[in-house]
Amino acid sequence: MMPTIVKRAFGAALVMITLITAQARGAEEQGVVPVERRSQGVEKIGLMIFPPLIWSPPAIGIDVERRTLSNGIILYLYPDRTLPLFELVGLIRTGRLYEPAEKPGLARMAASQIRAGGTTSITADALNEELESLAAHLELSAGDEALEVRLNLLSPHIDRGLQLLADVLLRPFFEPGQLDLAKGRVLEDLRRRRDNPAELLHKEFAALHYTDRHPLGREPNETTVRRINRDDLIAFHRRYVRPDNLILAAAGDFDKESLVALLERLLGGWSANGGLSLPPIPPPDATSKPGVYLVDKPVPQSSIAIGHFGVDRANPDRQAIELMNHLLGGGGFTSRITNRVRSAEGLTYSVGSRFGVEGRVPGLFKVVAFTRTDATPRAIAAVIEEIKRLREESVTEPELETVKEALSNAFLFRFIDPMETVRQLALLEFQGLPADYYQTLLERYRAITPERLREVARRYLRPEDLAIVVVGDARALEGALTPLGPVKKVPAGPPPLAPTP
Amino acid sequence: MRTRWLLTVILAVMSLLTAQGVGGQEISLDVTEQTLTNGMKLLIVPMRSSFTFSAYLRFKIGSAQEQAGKTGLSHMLEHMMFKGTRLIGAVDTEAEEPILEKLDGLHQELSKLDEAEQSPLTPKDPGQRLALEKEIAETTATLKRFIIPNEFWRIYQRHGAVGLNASTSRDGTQYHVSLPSNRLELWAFLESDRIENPVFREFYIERAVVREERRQRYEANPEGALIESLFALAFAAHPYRNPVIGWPSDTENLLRPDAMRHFKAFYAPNNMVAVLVGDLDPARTARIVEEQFGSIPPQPLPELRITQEPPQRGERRASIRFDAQPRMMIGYHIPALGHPDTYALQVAATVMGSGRTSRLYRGLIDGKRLASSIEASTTPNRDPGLLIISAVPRAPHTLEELEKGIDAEIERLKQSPVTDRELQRVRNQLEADLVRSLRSPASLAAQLGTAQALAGDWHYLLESRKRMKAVTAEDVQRAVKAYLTSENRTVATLLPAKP
Repeated sequence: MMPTIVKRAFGAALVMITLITAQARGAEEQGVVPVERRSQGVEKIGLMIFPPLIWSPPAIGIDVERRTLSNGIILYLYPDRTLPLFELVGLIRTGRLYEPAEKPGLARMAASQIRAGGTTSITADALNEELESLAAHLELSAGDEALEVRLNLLSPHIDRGLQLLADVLLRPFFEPGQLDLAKGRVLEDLRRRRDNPAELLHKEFAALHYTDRHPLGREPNETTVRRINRDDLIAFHRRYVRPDNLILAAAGDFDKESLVALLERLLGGWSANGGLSLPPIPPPDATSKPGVYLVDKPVPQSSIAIGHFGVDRANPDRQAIELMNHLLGGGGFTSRITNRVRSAEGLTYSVGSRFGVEGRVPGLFKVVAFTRTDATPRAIAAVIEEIKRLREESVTEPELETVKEALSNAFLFRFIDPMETVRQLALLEFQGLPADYYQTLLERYRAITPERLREVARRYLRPEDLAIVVVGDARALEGALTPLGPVKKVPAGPPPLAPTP
Repeated sequence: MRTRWLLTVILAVMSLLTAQGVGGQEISLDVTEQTLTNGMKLLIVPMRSSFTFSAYLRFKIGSAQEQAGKTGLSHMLEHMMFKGTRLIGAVDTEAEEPILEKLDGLHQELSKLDEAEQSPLTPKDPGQRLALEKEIAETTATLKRFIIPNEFWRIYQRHGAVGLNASTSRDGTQYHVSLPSNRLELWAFLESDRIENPVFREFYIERAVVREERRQRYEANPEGALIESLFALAFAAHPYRNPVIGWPSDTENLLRPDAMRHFKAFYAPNNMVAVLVGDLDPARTARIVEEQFGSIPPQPLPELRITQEPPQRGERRASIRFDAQPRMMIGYHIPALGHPDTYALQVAATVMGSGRTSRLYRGLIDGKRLASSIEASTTPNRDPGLLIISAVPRAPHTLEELEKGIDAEIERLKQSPVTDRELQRVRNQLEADLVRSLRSPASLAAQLGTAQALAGDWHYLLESRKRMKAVTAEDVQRAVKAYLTSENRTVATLLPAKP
C-alpha cells in the first residue's frame, strides 16, 4: 500500500510547528529575532485539518501496461476514456549528442523533414491538408538524446491518424522543396541569433562550456546548414528510425486490444536492416571555465548567467542536488536567490537557478537574472554570495522541511495528465531508470538531512569554477565588471551572414 | 467589525457545457453557477479524475481603466496582491502600518522633487534629494524587521500549489493556482483574506522589480518593443494605446496609496468572477466559498469615462530602430467582443494564419518564401481591438516585399470566397480545441472565467464557437473587405539600429 502523502505532510507540519514555536520562545527570551518567524495567518492555517488524499503514483503493470509488438517495438498504454482524445508519443534514440562534428543541427533537420517532407504515398501538402482537416497534430522534434514524435487527435480518427504516423515514420520522402524551405528558415534564424538577449545568453553559456569540440557546444552555421542534403536525411532515417529503437506511449480514449492490434498491423511488420548502430556519445571535457565573459548587446538591461558544469543522471546524489537547487534558486519565491535578488533588493524580475541532473552527459548549473546595466555588478555579487552561503551555512530544518513538503504535496500534479503520465513512465525505460523510480522518489527526498545537503552544496557548488556570462552594453559594463576579474569580450557567435538589404 | 451578509442568493443553475466531438459524440460538464449576495460570481465545475482543483479569479479591471499619469497601476496592484495581508507576511502588523505610511510620505516627497526638477530651468537640490534617499533607506530597513519574506508563496507551495501566478491584461486582472483537492479551505482562506485585508508592503522595492520586467519584456526584447509601438500608434485616443505594464515615468512614480485606492475601487466582490474546476463537490464548495467570501462587502463601482477610439481615417505607420533583424506587425481595427463581425474575423484570421495549410503559410512561408514566420491573431477585447498580423521576413526579401505579399493574400480573400474545405477545417479545429482544453482544469477555469468576465456569461465560450462555426464564405469575404483595408491599418516595422 502506498503512503498517503498528505497524512505524512500533516504529521511533518505538526512536528515543524512544535519545533518552531519552541525555537521562537527560546530566541525571544534571548532578545534575538528568531530566524523562522510565523505570522498569525500561519497559526490559523496550522489548525486546519486536511483529510488525507489516498493517492499513489501510477505504476507500470497496474495503471499503465507495457507490451511489445512482434518486431520489438515497446508500447506503454494508459487508457483514459474521460474525453474523446487520443495522444501518442514515440521516443527514438538519437539526437544532438550523436551528431557528427561537421553536421550540427542534423538531428533537428531530420526530425523536421521526416514530418514535413511527405511520404512515398502522400505529398507533403496533401499530408498537411489531411492532418489539419482532421484537426490532428503530428509533430517531430529532436532533443539531445531522443527524437520525439507526437500525435494528438480526437479519438474517432485514431485509425487514420496512426496510418499517417506509420507512413511518416516508415516511408518519409524528404521532398527537396521542403528541405530547401527548412534550410532557408534555419539560415534566417541564424541571422537573428543575436536578436533576443536571453536566447543569446543561453547559447553563449553552453558554447563556452561545451566548446565546439562537443555536440552540445556546436551550433549550425551557414556552411553546415548548406551542407546538409537529402542523402544525409535518408541515411539518418535508415540508421535511427527503426523498430528496435522505438518506444511508444499512448494515452486517452482507446481500447487496449484494438489499439495493439492496429499498431501490430501498421508497424509490426516493419523490420530493421542489420543491427542498430549508435555512435558513442562523447563525454564533454568538463574543465571549468571560470571568468567574466561579456557579449556586447546595446540594450538597457543585462542578461546574466552564472554557473559551471553540473552532473549527469547517473549521479548518486541526484535527489540531494535537486533539493539543493530548489532551495538555491529553483523553487521560485521560496528560494534564496529569488528572495534576495528580486524580493529583497528589487534588482530583477526573472531570476532562478537550474542544476542539470537529467542528462545523459553532465549538464550545466546556471543561475540566470536580468537587471539594468548599472545594477549588473551588484546583482552578480548577490548571486555569488548566496551560492557561497548555501555552502557555508547549514540550512535550517524548517527551511528543508518546507521544500520537502512542497515537493511531496505537489507530486501528484506530475500525473494528472494521462499523456504526461505515460510519457514519463516510458521515459524511465528510455533513460535506463528503474520502473519504480516515482514510487521511491519521495522517500529519497525525505531521507535528506541538512548535513547531507550542506555536504552536497560544498561538493557540487564551486565558487572558484563560476563562469559569469553577461549579455549587455559592453561599453558601460566593461569597466564595472573588472573588479570581478579580467573581462573577456566574446564575439557573439559565428560570423554574420550576408547582410539583409 | 465585519458586516455579515447572512442571505446568500444561490442560483444553483445546473447548466450543461456541451460540445460535439468531430465524430459527433457529446461531452458534457456540469457548471454550477452561483452569485453571492455581495455580487461575487462563482462557477464550479466538477471534474473528478485528478485529485486536484484549479482556481481562477478575475477582477474586471485592467489597464484600459487606468488614468493618465498612472498607467501600469493595475499591473502593479497585481504584484502587490502577493505581498501578504494583516494576517500573513509580517509580524506585528499594527506597528508596521504607520511606518509604511511614513515611507509613503517620503516617496511622495521624492516624487514631487523629481517632478519639480524635471524642467531644465529648475535648480537642482542634491542635498534635499540625498536626505530623502537616506531616510527612505533607513525606513525601508526598519520595515524589513517586520517582514516574513514571501510567506504567502511559501504557504501555498508547502501545501502543494502549482501554477501559482497572476497576470494583467487590458481588460482584466487574473489570479490562478492549482492545489491538491483537499486544500479547498486553504485556498478559500488565503484568497478571501487577501481580498479583504491586503497589506501592500515592499511596494517601492516591487516598483523596481516591475521596472525590470518592463525592461526585459519591452526594452531589451525586439518583439516587445515592436508590439508596444504598434498599440501606441494604432490607438490615438483609447487607453488600449498604453502598455499594460505602464509607461516608465508613470510606473516609476506610483505610490502605495495609489495602489490602495485602485484596490478599494475595483477589487470588490461584485466586480469579480471566481471559477473552480476539478475534484470538487459543488454544494460543499459553494458553502465554503460563501463562508469565506460572503462577508466581504460589495462596493459601488466608480463611473469611468473611457475615451472611445474615433474611426481611423488613413493608414498609420511607425518605425523603430533596434539591435535586431527586421520584423513587422500590422494591426487592423476590429469591433469589440460580441459584435457579429468578430466571428467572421476570427475565422478569417484562422484561415489566414493557422497551420501549414493556411493562406499566409502556403503563400508566403512556402510559396513565395518571403517570410520566415508569420502569424495572424485576434484577441477578444471588451472595447474594439486589433487583428494583428505579425511577420518576419526571410532574407534577401525586404519588409516592403513582405508587406506586399501579405496585401496580396488579403486581396485574394476579398476577391474570392474561401473554400468549403477551408471552412470545414476551421470548424473541425474549433471542436478539437475545445475538447483539448477540457483536458486541463486550469485551462478550462481560465476560459470560463474569461468568458464570464468579458461577456457577462460563461456560455459565451460555447456561443462564440457556435457562431464561428456558422460563419459562411460570404461572411468572411465581407468582413475582410470591410476591415482589412489600408485605411484601417497600422503598420509597425522594426529595423536594425544604424551602425
